[in-house]
Amino acid sequence: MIDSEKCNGKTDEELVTRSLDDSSWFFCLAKRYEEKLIRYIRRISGGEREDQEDILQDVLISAYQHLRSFDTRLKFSSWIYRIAHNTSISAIRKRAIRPTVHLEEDDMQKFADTIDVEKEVDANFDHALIQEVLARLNEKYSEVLILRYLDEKDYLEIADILRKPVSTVGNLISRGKKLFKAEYERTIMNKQHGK
Amino acid sequence: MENDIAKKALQRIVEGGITPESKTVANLRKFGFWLPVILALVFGSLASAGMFFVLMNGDWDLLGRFGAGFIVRSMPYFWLFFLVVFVLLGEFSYAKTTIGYRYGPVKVIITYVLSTMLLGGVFLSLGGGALFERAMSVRGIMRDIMFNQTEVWSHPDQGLLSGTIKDIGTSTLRLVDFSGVEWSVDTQHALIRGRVQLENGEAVKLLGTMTASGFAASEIRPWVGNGSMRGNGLRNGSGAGVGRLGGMR
Repeated sequence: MIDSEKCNGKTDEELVTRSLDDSSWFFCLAKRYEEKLIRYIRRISGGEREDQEDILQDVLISAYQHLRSFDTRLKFSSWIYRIAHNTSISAIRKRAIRPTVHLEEDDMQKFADTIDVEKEVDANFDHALIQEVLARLNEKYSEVLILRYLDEKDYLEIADILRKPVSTVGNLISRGKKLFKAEYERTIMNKQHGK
Repeated sequence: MENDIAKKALQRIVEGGITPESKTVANLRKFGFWLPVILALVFGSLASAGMFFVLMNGDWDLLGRFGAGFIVRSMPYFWLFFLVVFVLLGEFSYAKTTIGYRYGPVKVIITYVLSTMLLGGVFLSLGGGALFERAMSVRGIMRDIMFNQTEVWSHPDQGLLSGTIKDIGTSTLRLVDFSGVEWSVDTQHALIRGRVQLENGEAVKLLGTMTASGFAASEIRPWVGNGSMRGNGLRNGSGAGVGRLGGMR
């Protein structure tokens, strides 16, 4: 196992090259991304903690097996997020369940801050509803909103992760935000009227 | 807990003897993604070339006489269909390459159309037209589809007749049209276009009028093209034309 000190200061691309010669260097990459990826997997797939960890292990092993297919025109982070996205989706399909959005409390605060929903419905703002509303949105909108506002990816990175044109990503984010706000307001109203 | 996952994954890699796939496999996979992109470009270019060939060899000088219906019937639908198919296949395949999805379908389709047209034009300018001419002159269903002139030139009542020469006389010829009907054609006053060889087995197009005894040709054109590229042709019955027609016997 490589000492984590040795990983510091090395770029992802350098670590990829070293990992191809010596698998122990891959530990640096795995360690660098495990926290981000487990959060991402949790956000898009929900489920049990053990399932999420199994998915992450599969993601890391798959990334290692396909290291030579990594194209430096992409960021390594986009590439490994793409693997995480695809592995999560196929795990969800295997379980034959509808993907659920799972957000931590800090996720919901972050989301509310960045999407500005609080400003528009401040009097009745309810963090817990963010997860509920996001889960009700069409998957194509929720996945871009999560990547943009929780994983803080830029448009090109999101395009690379989801394999969509950048312009499409821009449209999905813009439309997704509108739909989210509308759905959020409707949910608040329904709750107020006891529906 | 998070640290454990990276460790566990690495343990599985080491204990399971998992290695990165070889360069050859990675390159083969990459090639597998690019192969349909390239094939779609090649076949799309051939389709473009075929389309240009049909358009370039259309009898457009007859538009004034036969009107819009003639244009509609003369369009290279077969090649256009294949061009569309290969462009769409190309776009679909390109989107599957490493960063192909970045550009969006409209940009890729426009690039594909322009590239196939450019390459198709290059193919024709390098002599590819001869291949098309040969393919389109061979009797059979493919000729009718590739070079959709059979239908256009199968209206003797409107003065359009086509078929294969069976026998040649001094001022007449026997022609079997593409539906198998034999015609006696009066060629006495026919303008014979430059590329017409007037030999048995040759496919030709005739302009003229239907008569009680058959068809009176006013013009004989080669099957592919209007034959005007090599001069104005010869008027049969005007000495040179007669001599030529007679000489072919």
